[in-house]
Amino acid sequence: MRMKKNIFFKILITFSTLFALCFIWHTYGFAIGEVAVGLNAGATYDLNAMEELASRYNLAMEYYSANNAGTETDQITVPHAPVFGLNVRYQFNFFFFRIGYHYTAPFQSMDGSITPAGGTRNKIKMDVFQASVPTTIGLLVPMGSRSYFFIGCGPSLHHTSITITQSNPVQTSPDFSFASIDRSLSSNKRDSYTGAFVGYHLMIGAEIPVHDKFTVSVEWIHQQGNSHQIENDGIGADDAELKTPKKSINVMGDFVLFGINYYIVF
Amino acid sequence: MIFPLCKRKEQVKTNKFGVFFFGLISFFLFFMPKKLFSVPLNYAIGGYLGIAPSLGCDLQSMRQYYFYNSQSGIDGLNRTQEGYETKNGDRLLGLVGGISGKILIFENYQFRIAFNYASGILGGEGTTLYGSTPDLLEFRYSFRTIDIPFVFGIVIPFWKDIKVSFNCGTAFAYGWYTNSFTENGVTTYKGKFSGKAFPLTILLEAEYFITDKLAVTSSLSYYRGSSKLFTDEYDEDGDVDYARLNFSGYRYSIGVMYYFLSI
Repeated sequence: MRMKKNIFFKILITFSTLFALCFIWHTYGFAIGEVAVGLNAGATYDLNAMEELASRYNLAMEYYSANNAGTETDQITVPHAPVFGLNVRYQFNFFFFRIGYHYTAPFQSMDGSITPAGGTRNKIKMDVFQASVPTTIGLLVPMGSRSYFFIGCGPSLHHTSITITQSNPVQTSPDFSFASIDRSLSSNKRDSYTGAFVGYHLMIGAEIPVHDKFTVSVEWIHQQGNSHQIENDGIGADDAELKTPKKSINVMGDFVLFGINYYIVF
Repeated sequence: MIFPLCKRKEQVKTNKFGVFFFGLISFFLFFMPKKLFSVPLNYAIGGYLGIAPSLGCDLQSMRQYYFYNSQSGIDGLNRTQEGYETKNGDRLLGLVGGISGKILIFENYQFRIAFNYASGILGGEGTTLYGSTPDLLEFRYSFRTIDIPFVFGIVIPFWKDIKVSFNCGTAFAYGWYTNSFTENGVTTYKGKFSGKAFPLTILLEAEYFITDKLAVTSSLSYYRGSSKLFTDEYDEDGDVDYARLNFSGYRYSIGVMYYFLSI
């Protein structure tokens, strides 16, 4: 939680600086063009591409259950996650340059459990969040006064985290562990990966005015990116600290965003 | 107790997202100008036909994963070796058809609801190898789905007889997925799964008006979302399989749209 706060403040400071630069740039650098600030809210699905991993754990639970009568399972569900963001945009003729910030984490918990017959309940929980700073250069297709379709792409700086915890990952009577069912799965009490890296995104959207200075927008952001191999901040089944296995985080995903934008007149 | 424990838990999870989504729509309604509610509305209905490449995505199931060593569904199932006659199995190409209705507010905003049916018509069958010997495996898949997307979008007129809209929202999707694996032409294992999910939905649509009320439409929609694992409903083979229903993918459609009021 403390780490999340630190990152949030770092991104906020970066964003404020960029906003100030954008302001100065607009005021002294160009005589034409417009600057707009916007707030976004929307949703995403399969945050940090966890669906595949959750599905593997679910398959392992059901496979074990099918081969061991009396096992109880509760599958991990992959929820939608709300997205909140803000952005600053400078537009000039048919081009725009935009810097945004998005934060997303699921409202609902991603958890499930398996209780082997005669064994102890092993609760598995996945905690994820993602903060991104997408920087976009794109084209505006003007359709009227402040009515646009826009399409753009650019790099995204991601700060993401995945933490998977299990309450009783290794049991001897009866013999149970996820790793013994599927070697790609973990039998640690905690596997935690946090990293910052650069990916890229594609953005498509539309915007129309609702007031002299306000517009509303609808946009879709598709992003892709893989982190470098990140060290595990883990705890083994024997409570020993772990640094392995190293893994990369995949941020491939789609964001559906609705926004309200304010055009600053200097 | 009305629901079993696990179902009640799911119910609560669904409601939380529903409250959030309702809140989001309310937020934007709040920011719309007051005079919006006094302007006349326009309504339109239409129909369309199209294709859905990669319907059902990789069609993964537990049997493929653990018994045929394919961690990527139908994609990982294709194998070949000299001396064996195999046939590549492709992902399903689906045919999609639907009807839609929409309310245009202020001529620039729209709420759109639709009913779609999609079914795989090509692909989804082949012959591959499995095991260390190896042995021949014939496989066959089918996937059908209905969905009701609910999207909100922005409509922008382009020249005088074209409208382009960009819409985002979610859909209620229900699917039926079957698979069949025949080992060495002798033993056949069948699976049958059905269930629902709520994929995210994005729709880009263009309309060309051939009269002042009738338009030809072309649209590209994108779904993203899948279900939890469902238990095999086919019992006669004595085998139990598990699979999720994946509704993610693109759909391209063309159709017509009738507006109740002239544009």
